Amino acid sequence: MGANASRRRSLLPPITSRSLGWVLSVLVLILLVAVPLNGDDYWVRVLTGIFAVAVMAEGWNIIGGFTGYAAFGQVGWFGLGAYTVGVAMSRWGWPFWPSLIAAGLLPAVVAALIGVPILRLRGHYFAIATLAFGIALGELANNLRYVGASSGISLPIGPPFAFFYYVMLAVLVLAVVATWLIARSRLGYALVAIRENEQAAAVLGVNTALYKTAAFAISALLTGLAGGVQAYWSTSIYAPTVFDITRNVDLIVMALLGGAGTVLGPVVGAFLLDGLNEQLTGAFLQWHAVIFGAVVLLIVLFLPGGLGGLVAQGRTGVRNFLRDLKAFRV
Amino acid sequence: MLTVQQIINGLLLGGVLALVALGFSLVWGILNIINIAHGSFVMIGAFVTYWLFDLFGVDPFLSIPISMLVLFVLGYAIQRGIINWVVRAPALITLLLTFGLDLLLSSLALLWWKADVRSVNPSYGGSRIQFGTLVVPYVQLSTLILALAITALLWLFLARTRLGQAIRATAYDHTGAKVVGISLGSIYAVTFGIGAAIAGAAGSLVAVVRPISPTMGASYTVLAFAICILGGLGNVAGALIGGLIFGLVDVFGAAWFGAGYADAVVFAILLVILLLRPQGILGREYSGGTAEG
Repeated sequence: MGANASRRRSLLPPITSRSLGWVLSVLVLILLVAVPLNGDDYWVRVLTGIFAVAVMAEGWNIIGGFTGYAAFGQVGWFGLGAYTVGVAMSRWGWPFWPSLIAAGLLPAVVAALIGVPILRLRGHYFAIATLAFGIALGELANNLRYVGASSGISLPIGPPFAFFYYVMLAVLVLAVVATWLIARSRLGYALVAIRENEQAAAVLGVNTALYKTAAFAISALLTGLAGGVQAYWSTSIYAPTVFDITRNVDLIVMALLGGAGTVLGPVVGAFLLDGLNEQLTGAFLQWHAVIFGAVVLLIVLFLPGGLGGLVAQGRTGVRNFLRDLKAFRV
Repeated sequence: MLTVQQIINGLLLGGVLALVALGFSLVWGILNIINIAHGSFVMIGAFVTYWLFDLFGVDPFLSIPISMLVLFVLGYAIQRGIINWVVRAPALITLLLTFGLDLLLSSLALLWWKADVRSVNPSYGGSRIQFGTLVVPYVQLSTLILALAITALLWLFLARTRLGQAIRATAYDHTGAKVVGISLGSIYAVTFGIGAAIAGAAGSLVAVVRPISPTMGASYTVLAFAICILGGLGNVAGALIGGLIFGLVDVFGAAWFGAGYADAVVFAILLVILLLRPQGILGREYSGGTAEG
């Protein structure tokens, strides 16, 4: 009946925020595809880096945003993916593509295996377990002679920057599409149910262990792919850089800023924060980190619900702004 | 005798680590704030001690009260002026806020003090007690004793003073606390200030036993986080036990698997403990209330 009614009114689909989101996304994608064509290496390099971070934030979003499990070891999957490509290409002489596939699969398998015990932990305890695992992986990479220990791995010189730009963009699109599909699937509903009330979900017959493990593995897979591309792009990898634990927090900040548990939120957050950081670095070499910190402070103080909250609820206008501002005060 | 020496080294290291975690545990347990800037507080405490020693020749142990005072004022001001604005938001929002704070503090420190690694070397730095083959350096022994003393003082303060009781009451039931006339805003600020002051003391002790730099903070935040979970959240003894175990495991891990694997061993053991005992060694069912609602 509803379908009939709308068909009578107009042949065009109504302009909803959802369709607007689609149009915007496609426009941005077309813009992004066009960037390397103008031959500006600076933007190609900057954006490739932002894509990588956006993939990580989106990967975190599946386990952290949808499922509500605050994973603090996302960088571990990134590093594992990077080292997979590094070892496969420089030690075993594999071509790039099979190595990249391995860089997705290995973290996914490892995540599925360790997910079984550690996804029994909740809240802060899950956070520390994932952090511990990420740190242990990084230290292993920094000490195992087979993977170059502290001197890292050198990879064959790759194609020009634009190649990596497109591959990283493809991984990002894959991550967004995967998240979109998950959000609309049985898996997505199960994950949100687990986030909202895990016991209730279990009682209602949701196989929580299975779905949580699947979310954890997919999250690791996407992040591992980004690490794999990063490895070939940078041609030499070191454990302290690809397993940089402080980035775990950056990712979470990005996802929260843009809106955790939404499809595009973490990507928007990553573009905003990393893009801002990059611009500030260019403009104020000395003071950029100080300004960046201050900006994060101001965002939290004035938008405690995150940008996502603002857009999702259509809560704009001064009165709502002031109400939000007072909502969390003591 | 090697292992006895290692136990001594582990406990000496663990005392300082426990103190690093103590302030973090207090703030987390009482305010439900995961303070990412905690490591930066430790760093600032270390630099207060460093500059007092370097410029005025103040003994590093005598500078502890000064760095505690500086950090208390800083922490109080930060909670009062900034965090109290969003303290009732979900924990991840305050985490975001303290992340920004951490970035601000550590990058300011980097601007002013540069990335140089520095150390505090008092004249008595090398002296030690010798029992047969066992060696106990005075400096490390003093840091352990001071760490224990500060932990005990905090426990006494929380258990015996009116202010301490008010702080605990707020953690258990903030509505009830308000009803009996406790001002939440200032209790939060005092609690955060005390947490920062203990971080400052920890920083002063760290400066005596380890090299310091403006970027040292992040690793101490991670450490504090891990120790709190290990020992059990929101209780003074938990941070102490967690810290001592952490120190022991660190020393043994380094001896058995090589220094490069020390952290991996520590975190592997942490993982096992968590799986066997998810609430931490001394943890009960989480008792510190939240600042929400």
